[in-house]
Amino acid sequence: MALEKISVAAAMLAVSLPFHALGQAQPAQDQGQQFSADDAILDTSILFAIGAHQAEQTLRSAFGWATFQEGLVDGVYFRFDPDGYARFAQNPRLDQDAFEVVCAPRSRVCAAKKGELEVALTPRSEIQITVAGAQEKDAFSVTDGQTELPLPPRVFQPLDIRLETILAAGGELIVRRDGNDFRRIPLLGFNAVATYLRWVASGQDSTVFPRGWPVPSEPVRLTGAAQPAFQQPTQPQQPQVPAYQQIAQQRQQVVSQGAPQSQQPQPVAVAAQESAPAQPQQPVAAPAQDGNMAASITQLQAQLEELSKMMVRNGGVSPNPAPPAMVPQGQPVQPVVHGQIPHNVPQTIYPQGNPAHQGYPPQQVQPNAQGQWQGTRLPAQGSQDWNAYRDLLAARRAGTQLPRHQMPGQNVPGAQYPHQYPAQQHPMHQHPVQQQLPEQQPDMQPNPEIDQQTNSTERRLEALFARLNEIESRGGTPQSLTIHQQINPLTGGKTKQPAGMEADPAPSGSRQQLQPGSTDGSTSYGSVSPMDARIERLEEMLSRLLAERQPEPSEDRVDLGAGVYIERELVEEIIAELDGEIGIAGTLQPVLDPVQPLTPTEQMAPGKSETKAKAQSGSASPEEDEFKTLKDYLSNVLSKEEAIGN
Amino acid sequence: MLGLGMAVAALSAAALSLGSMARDAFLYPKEKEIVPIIAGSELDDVPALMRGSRRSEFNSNVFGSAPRSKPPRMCEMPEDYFDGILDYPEKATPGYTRRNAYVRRYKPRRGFLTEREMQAARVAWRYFQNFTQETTGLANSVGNYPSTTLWDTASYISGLVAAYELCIVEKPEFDERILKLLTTFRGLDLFRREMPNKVYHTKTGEKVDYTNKSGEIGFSALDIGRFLVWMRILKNRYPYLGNSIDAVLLRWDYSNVIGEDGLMYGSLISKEDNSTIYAQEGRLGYEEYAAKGFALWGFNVRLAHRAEPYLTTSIHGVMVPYDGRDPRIFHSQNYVVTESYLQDGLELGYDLPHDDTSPDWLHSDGWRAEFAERIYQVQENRYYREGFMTARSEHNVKGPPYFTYDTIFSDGYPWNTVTPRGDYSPDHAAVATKAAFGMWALWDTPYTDVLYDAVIELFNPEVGFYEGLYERGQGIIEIYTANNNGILMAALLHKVQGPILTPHPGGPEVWYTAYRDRDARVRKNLPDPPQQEDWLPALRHVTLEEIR
Repeated sequence: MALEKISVAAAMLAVSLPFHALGQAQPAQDQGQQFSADDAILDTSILFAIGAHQAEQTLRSAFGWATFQEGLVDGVYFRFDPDGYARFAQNPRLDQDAFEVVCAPRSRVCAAKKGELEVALTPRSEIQITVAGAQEKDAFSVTDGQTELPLPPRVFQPLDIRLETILAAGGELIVRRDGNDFRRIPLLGFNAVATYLRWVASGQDSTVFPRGWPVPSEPVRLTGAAQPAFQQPTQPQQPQVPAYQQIAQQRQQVVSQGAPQSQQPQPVAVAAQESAPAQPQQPVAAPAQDGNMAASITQLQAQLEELSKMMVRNGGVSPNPAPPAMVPQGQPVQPVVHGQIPHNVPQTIYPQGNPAHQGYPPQQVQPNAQGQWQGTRLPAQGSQDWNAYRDLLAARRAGTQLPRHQMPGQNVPGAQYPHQYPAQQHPMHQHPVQQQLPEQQPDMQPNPEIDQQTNSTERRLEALFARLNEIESRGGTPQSLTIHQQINPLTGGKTKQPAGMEADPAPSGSRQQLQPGSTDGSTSYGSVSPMDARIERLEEMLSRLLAERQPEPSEDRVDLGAGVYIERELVEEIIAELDGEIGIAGTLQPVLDPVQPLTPTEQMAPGKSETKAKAQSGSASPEEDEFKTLKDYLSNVLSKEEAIGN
Repeated sequence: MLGLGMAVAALSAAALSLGSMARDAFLYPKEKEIVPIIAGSELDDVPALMRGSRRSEFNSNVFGSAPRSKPPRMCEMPEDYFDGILDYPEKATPGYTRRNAYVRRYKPRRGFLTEREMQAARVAWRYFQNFTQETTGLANSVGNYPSTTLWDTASYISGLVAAYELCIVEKPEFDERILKLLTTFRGLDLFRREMPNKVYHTKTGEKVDYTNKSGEIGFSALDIGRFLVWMRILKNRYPYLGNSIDAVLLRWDYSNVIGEDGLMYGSLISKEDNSTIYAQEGRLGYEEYAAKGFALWGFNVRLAHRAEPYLTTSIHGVMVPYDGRDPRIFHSQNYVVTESYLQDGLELGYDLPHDDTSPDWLHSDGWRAEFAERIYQVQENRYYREGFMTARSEHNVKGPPYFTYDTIFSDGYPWNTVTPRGDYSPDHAAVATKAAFGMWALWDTPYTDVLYDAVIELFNPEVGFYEGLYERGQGIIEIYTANNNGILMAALLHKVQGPILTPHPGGPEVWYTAYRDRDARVRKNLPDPPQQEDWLPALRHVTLEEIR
């Protein structure tokens, strides 16, 4: 009887499902997680590090990546596929304690995950971490097994150089809740993963490698190697500045489910504009640059760097670049600005969430003299000023780009601010005019000093403490540097603390106290004649570069002389760039205590910050009118700094 | 006169007799001394024109025993069809026989499909309804991703045969589908005019690479071997498809895929000079299964069919066999998974290619059945000792790395789940649906009941069965594949009909007779009908009990 039922049912089914069902519309199966050749964003024949090699995968399925790359770098083994999927671990099996990197389909937006720790790259190429399950009251610290360093809550904001260096040094990230260890996450591989994320975002540009990285001598392209789809004309354009919220959501899907939900190309860029219209997008370098222009740009870049070094020498400050602006404790975690704002200028935050939905314009935030944060609102979205602001940005995106954006290979946002210690600063990446290094041997010449600074938390801390002591010995008050007394669970005592660190931080420290060299009579750099020569040189180059582009005078432009005008904002940005290269890292930053997070801009040249904000708001001021030429402007700024220093 | 006439008549008769004797003496001088010519012997000088007409030799026509009969479709079976079918004789004691056949300790499941199982078959068939391309008749390997391999096409054929035999589709649809497929294969562009490329685009039928872009990447002997198994199943079950099938296979050039040493060789393209590289393909498990596919068509694959070199590792008290070729030297991993052992059991009944007579409980390819039993036993032991429900195979996964070898043993580690590039990926360990169904069909045990419960509802009724259930509790592998659904249907068909390969119907085949008047057979290394001397040997290997 049962057989009859089955037979009848089968017969009915057979009648109801004729063969022409072959052509029926296929069900809307969620196949977005499937393999797509267009997801290829990497060429596995371009080596990530010396000693790596391309290999072939053992495939038995109908699709997959034919090749991958594997190697060993920074103490961890790694393998990655053309779609960016990678793993980093101490064991060559890449099994235990492994970072797993997954990239959003058809983009260079990647995220790494190890346990509860997730590492991602902001559009400004800053590392941002999250710890799943962490709560506001949790305490975070890093330990190397002997000492323990507490981390500020801003560790969950885009990391500055110091925090990233600390995390990259290895050890363990400890999450404490109610005094007990809640999570301990090994950080082994953090540095390699961070570098990998930047490398992917930059389109495999070796200039993003940090100092000491075993950079391959040259990109090795094997014959017949699978070329990533991004090199093919059919490849959709990579989203340049996706909204971070969307990226995070997409990344979450990818990491938690193993793949995104849609096979269609992700309209990340469009969505980004829709969700965050107030965020100016990164200008993108034109794909085809004039060769002479590129050479000039390179020269200009070298000039800038040399200028900064000269100023550093004259000013007696450290050449370390500045950290990004910091938000004091208690402030909500702010989204990252996707605009063309250097690290040492105020960041844009959204006071109540996404302005696209809240109706709030973005806010310029900067600290005041007391270290408190205050906001200067940009023009309201949709207003005339806002439109002018937007037009200004659009014009900049269209063609008025800073020379550093025109560096070959830096055609994605992540490559523009690849790192606080970008590889361009490394001797092997500097212009041959400056370094004159033979082409055959530059690769494996890591700076031992840098290695000492970056290879372990302890060394880094020691360097930091030594620096503090040096400042203190000059009479300065490290007012904003405070280390919380941390009870070492093993010894019951305090962790290593530098001399003078227990002093009560003075909340109202003057800028004079903050200026290095201000008490030891070191020469300030405002009146050094070689620098003037450099400025003149800079003027010449800018004039030559931009003469054809900006022939018309305007209130928003600065006269470079000889009837050549450039946008004032560009000048501002160059100044900011100089600041980032010159003075900020030499000042004292609240590395360990964000209670009084004076920004470098605030410390060094508050006038520039104000000017910057005003320039962005489209307002004019008598002060701006004073700066008719770039030289005037620079001289004014530097004289101000000199006055502060004295 | 009368005397003269009688004399003449006598002389004539004598002359006639003498002439006849003389003719016999001169024309057929040694007729009685002719020794039957046996292929491969020193006397094998039969002209090539004649060799194709010889009959292939099987157990039935050599030893005169009755071949197995082709089972009827499920809807045509009498209600008492399964009465006594599992009543094994007393002599069927587990272990090797004197002739190195093997009797397994566990019986397979046999009987009509229940409503639940029938529903599973229909759902699995939905996959092929959804993802078969009308233009080519090819089915996608994975969901709507339009590419396929010969391995996965064989899985589609297994699903199609099962659908017909389980009365899910009727002959018109079956014929339309299979003829469309064979016609497409008849016109497929081969890899360098030799063998089918590893991957084809299912919508266009063109050769593609692993990213589904036009191009060629070589051929896989394992995939071709599995495809040949199902070509033989089709031809034996449905002789009216014989010419179409032969036309497909006769286009191929077998001069490199089977070496003179009896090993199988795959091909790939050299990166240096774009030349074709032939490399031995197959490791213990897959290699023997694919070799039997070639042997079913008369090829000599003796060495490929042997287990050696192999090693064993003890896992939960079971000596698990794995390939002894060192991956560091041969650059080929030795994954131990369930799949190839299941396919050998479901499709070939762990029998040798020439065996068309042995009962279901006796497996003439003894060591394959015995190894398969070890593969089953170690997974059952893991469940009862560690609690991990285990049915491991290679399977696709959602998102990167897209595919994993979920092994019982590989790279020196038990329960090693690795990606194609070698990452250990334990999070992708899973109960593979196809492995669970296959084990359920071949081993009627309480443990496979557990597996059955784990996967029987693991489907989307509109799309098909999911790939599996993650071992670590991450849920379902939400991906649909031809291989998974095809093997699942083969497992259900095995419950109804037993081993899917049916005996050869007899008679000559175009496969053996074609091109006898030219050198094509020599150039393409086309085989002659297998004779008894060509049979793969029945071997045995030391078992753990024998060691003890």
